[in-house]
Amino acid sequence: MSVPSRESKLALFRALQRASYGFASYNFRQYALRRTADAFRANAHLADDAAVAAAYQRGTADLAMLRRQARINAEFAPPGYTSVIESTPSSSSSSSSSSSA
Amino acid sequence: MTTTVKETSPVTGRPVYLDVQATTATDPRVLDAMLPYFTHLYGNPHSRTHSYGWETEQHIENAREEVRQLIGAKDKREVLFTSGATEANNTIIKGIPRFYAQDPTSKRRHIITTQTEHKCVLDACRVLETQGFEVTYLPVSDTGLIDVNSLAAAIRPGQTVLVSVMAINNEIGVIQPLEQIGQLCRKNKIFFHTDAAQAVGKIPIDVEAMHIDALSISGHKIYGPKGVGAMYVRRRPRVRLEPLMHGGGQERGLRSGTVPTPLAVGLGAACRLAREDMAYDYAHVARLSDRLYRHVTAALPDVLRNGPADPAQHYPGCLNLSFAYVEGESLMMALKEVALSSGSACTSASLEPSYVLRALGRADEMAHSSVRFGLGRFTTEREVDFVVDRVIQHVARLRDLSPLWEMVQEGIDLSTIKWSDH
Ligand SMILES: Cc1ncc(COP(=O)(O)O)c(C=O)c1O
Repeated sequence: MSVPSRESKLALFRALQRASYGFASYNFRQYALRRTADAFRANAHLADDAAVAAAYQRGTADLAMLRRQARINAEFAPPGYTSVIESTPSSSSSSSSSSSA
Repeated sequence: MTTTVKETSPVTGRPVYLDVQATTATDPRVLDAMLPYFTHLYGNPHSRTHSYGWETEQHIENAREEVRQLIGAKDKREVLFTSGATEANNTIIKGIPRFYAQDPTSKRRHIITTQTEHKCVLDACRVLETQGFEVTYLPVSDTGLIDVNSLAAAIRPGQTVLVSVMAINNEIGVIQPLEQIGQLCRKNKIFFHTDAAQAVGKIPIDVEAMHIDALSISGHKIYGPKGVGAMYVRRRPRVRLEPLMHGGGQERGLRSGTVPTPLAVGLGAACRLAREDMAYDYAHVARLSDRLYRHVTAALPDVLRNGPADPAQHYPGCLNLSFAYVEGESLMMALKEVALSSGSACTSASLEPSYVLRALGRADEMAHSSVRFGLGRFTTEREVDFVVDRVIQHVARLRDLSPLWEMVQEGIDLSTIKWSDH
């Protein structure tokens, strides 16, 4: 296993985020975005080459899975099933920026 | 595609889902693991004569291993697949006492459980009571905890065969002192069962350290599929039970019937994810729970938490609050944009106050004014803020309509008022 370059890690991150947006379900989409961001943040500290390569390989497998599942999720979404969160303009006192990521 | 989905209110969108104790969404990673068993791998895992059976059997064994790891069992043969926690609870609670009472001279016909168990445990106990067994239903403290000394006092040496205490309560999130209960039971040579449907995958459970002899798991509470669960039945020291299902002798003869490969694989995947991400999920849920509680209580007086506040004794994903002077049912009706429950799904159809809250000694009014906020892996911060906003708005509105609230604002002590009988 070769150690992925900075560019390929960044490309993987972007691809995972893009795939996450494919979920029709608000909650799965938000979770996928958050989980991806947190995983990359946690793995940023990996020093060991083998560990970095293993994490990269996991991410690549996750990408394939995410693409499949986002597609299935969108294909089988019943009509009109958007979350009230998405159909409500963010009002309220609390800031709605960067949900939990 | 023509679907038969009921149109709720299409303009506003789907409600925020805060009812994860009733059931959870199937994690897409779980579905991904299951799909091949609906497309290609349909062999009967018990077929011994061809590769269709061998391949599915291998994957079921992998799933069994995932369940084993999550609960710290020594041997994966101690894990048996069932249709859910209801079946696991019934099999264990009826099966263990019945097995050890087979000898008509046996005196081991006493079972101890608690007043706040899930309905399926209580109902299984009721059945045993009609069949010559005696059951003690232990009371709980005002935070829902059982007292280990009372449990010790309830034990009848030579007669008590089983103690069944749930790990996390589905209505109030209280975590029972499993390790202490396990030690007590082991010392007295009594079997210890725990209904861990709400606990497995959410908090660390170790059947060895906690001296658990039997344990129930539900797939759909941990982002797995509905219709599958598992029971742990200890081999050393051996726990024996009379099965409910007879037939092909699958699952060591304790649960006959073809193991549903897609569901068992889904449960295995759900257990793997829960194990790998337990700390991550817990931190997320705890943060959101704390946010919800802080913001609601900062804006509203007279909000009472049902269950302990100490995180060592309470799972944060199950936040049960009573809003004094407000009917829980009215609040839930007003909160149309949030999917909530006042307690367990099976009793929410009736207007009876929850027996769990009553067991805490809550007055009927407070039990009636409770709402359970169930937070999970897929809940977002924005949803919590949305819900906080609506709760504050509607509680304030409903209180303004309440004559009791008005009296309280005028300084009248309601406890001095004589109410007519009801
Ligand atoms: C504590 C507890 N036990 C048992 C069950 C029943 O689980 P299942 O739906 O898997 O039969 C539930 C869920 O309703 C539960 O919360």
